[in-house]
Amino acid sequence: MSDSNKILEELTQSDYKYGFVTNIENESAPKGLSEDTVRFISAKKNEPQWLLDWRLKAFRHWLTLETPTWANVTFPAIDYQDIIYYSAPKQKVTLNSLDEIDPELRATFEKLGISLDEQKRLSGVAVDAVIDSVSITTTFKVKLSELGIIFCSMSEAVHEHPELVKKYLGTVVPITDNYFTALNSAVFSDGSFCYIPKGVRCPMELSTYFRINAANTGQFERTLLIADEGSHVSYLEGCTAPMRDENQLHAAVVELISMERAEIKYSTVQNWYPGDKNGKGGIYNFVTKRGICAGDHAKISWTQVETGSAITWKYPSVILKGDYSIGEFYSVAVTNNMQQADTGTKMIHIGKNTRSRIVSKGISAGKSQNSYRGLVEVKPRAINSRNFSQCDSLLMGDQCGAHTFPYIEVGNPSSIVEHEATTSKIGEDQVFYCNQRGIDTEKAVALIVNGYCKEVLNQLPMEFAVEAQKLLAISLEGSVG
Amino acid sequence: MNLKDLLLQEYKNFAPTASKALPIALREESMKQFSEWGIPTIKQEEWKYTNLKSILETPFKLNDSNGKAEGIQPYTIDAYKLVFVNGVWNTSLSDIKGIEAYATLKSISEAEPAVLAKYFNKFHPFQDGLQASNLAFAQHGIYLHVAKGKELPKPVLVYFLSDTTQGPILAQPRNLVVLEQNSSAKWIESFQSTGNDTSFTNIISEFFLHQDSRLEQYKFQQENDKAYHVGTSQVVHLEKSYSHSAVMTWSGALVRNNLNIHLGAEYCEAHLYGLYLGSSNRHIDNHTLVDHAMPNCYSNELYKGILDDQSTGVFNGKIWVQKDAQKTNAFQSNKNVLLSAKATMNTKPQLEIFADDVKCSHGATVGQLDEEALFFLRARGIPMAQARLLLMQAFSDDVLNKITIPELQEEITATIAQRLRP
Repeated sequence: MSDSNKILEELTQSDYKYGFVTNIENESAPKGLSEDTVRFISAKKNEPQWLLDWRLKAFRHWLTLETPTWANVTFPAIDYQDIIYYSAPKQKVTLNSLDEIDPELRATFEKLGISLDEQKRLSGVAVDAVIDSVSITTTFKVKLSELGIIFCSMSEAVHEHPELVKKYLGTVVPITDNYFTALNSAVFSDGSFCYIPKGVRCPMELSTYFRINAANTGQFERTLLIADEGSHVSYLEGCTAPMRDENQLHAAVVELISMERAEIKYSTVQNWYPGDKNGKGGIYNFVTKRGICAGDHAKISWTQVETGSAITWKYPSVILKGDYSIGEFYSVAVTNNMQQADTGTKMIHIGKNTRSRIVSKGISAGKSQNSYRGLVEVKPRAINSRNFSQCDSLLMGDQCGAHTFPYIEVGNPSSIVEHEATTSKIGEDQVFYCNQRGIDTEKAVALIVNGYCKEVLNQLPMEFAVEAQKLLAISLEGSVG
Repeated sequence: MNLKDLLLQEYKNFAPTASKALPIALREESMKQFSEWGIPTIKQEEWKYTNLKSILETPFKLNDSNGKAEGIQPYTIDAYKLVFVNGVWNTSLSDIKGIEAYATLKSISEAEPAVLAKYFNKFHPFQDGLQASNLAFAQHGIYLHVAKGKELPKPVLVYFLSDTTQGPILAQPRNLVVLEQNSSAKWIESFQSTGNDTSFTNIISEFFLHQDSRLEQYKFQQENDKAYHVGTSQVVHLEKSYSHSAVMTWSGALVRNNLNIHLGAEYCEAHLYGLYLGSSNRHIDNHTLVDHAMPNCYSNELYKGILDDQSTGVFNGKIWVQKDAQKTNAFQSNKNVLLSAKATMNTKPQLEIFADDVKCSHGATVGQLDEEALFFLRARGIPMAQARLLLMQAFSDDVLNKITIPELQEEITATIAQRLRP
């Protein structure tokens, strides 16, 4: 026991290695939220009138709402007037090549492990990097545009492809959807936009890196991804933030639209600053992610590895509207110290013969609380639908909690829905088995946890899988209860 | 007048006549809560899938002592028989000869205040308006106290009859069963009705299990197709006690069964079984809670349902494992068969775990009769209708087998078979 305590201590004292602050001059909106803030952001981004109207509509709706309290997380009330809603690193107006990026900024990326040029040369991943909610640069744009793929920042898309943005923005996650989407719709500052034309298979992984840099800022980015008929795209998302004592809010919206026979694979490795071991600071990650399989045979697959954030509160969902469409959700959520996570998915079966699969692995350690909350809804006309859900929890230490709240609503007799869940700790006999073969306890736990998560990690693209495994190792190695 | 106002008004008449065994302050407090909370609505998470809206405007008659007990469908088993008509205990029809050698049995309004102070209303994890109303009106009901080391030779069978021939009836019985150390009892509740009007039963039964005691409780819902029923059973376990519950529903318009089990000491064991058959517009809701508060306890839960026509089924099974409840074993399973295109099932198996050295699992399925099994039977010359019946019977047998009184098991199995027949 003393051994494992020691290891736990080491673990809790290990620093958050992404916790640096970059000194880049920022251009910020004044603190606080009002119609003026919304107008300021819109004017700053030189937006057309329809978008401003849309934002204002969202803002007025937001005013009528109250913060939802149903989630299994607790946090002090957020003062929405104490947040800076717009903070852009000062930079030249247009960039012709990567060389023109502020060197400080590039150093930031180096630290993050996203060396932009290197990525360009070697790994073939197109990156859109977003710092403090403004998109800094998008790599590989030319190469992608040859195929007709649009991959750019949201503000660019608003100007260059207004017809697409206007047509799809807010169709999957309407502004009235919930408290945080209304807020996001009113003040979102940037994000990524992606359009894959008919029949195109995107030749490389698309990727966005999010970073909150300035203090007191909230990050409200908006991602819109459209895969037209028969196309295919794999999209990655990574997040980090500096260490700060106060909590920072991250309320993003991600919308995916998958047309007939199109396939979207969306992977997230979320490693926002989780706060220190006493629960001071850290990011509130309140994100709405939803995709729609709009056409027949469409497919959307969410994969997430959640290791960071003081509070994670999100449910990447799929609306299975087209017949024979497929939704998948693979998740590993790790909580340690005082972290709280309430995460899961919604699978809404509307079309006939739709299928969904949910695999959720929760790991809680320290004094953390980890909840899985999911909905599988089969509408009466979604005949012959099929769902399989598995959500397992692993507990390390006797002060953490694991919770499961699955909602299953079935409205027709030809569908089959199965749900199973288990909760357990790492078996002493498993650890003993490894010890006996000369593997020390710490490595044995890493091995067991890795095996436990394998089903989900296998879904990640190569580059991310390696990173995710490292993250898991940092977060949990040795914390056997 | 809506139901809330009706109850508030009735309380004014009732309060002066209420039994003094229960402190009037408790009733007043409870009524105050009721006037605040009202009848539960679907806005409340616990009532998300069950809507009581349709009974709110019914002009119910409360605890009507003029009801007639004719038309009861008696079980043939040998038991201590108790009859409630419209929520009022009918002593002339009851037969409890010889029970005094083993236990005290009387009306809850005659229970000693000291007893009530010790056992009454001790575990109520989810309070709502209906429970508050039941507590405020607590007057009619059984208080059964089984003496130390005694085993009741016969089960206690309580009929709750709603006589709706004179109009809609509202009944709020409240029972308290205490099992002393090393004692054992079997408790059966049967809900029936006569007449074709609606009735609303809002019942709470509490069970308090001392060390090494053993309880078996059964609940059979067989009221008419307009009946509303909200029933709560709360079981509190002390050391090494054992409980076995089976709740079966095959009629009524809207039935809500709450079963809350509190494992409050080490080495307790609880088994929960449920079976529900939905047809026409029936709405059946089963909410269960197993609260593992102490280490080394075991719980096992199996609920099964078959839903036909436009019926709706709801299942919510919670397992709480508290921080100190190490070495807990908790299992839960909910299986459902949907037979028609308009039947709906909403299930929510829920685990909340705060201890690490535990084994907990839950599973839920919603599906239909196995095509291949049907084909297998039909290939052997068994007609479709009979093959389906066979499969449904086999499905429900898992739960029916848990009725440990052989004659009763036979009787209920026959009733269920009758119900399943197309």
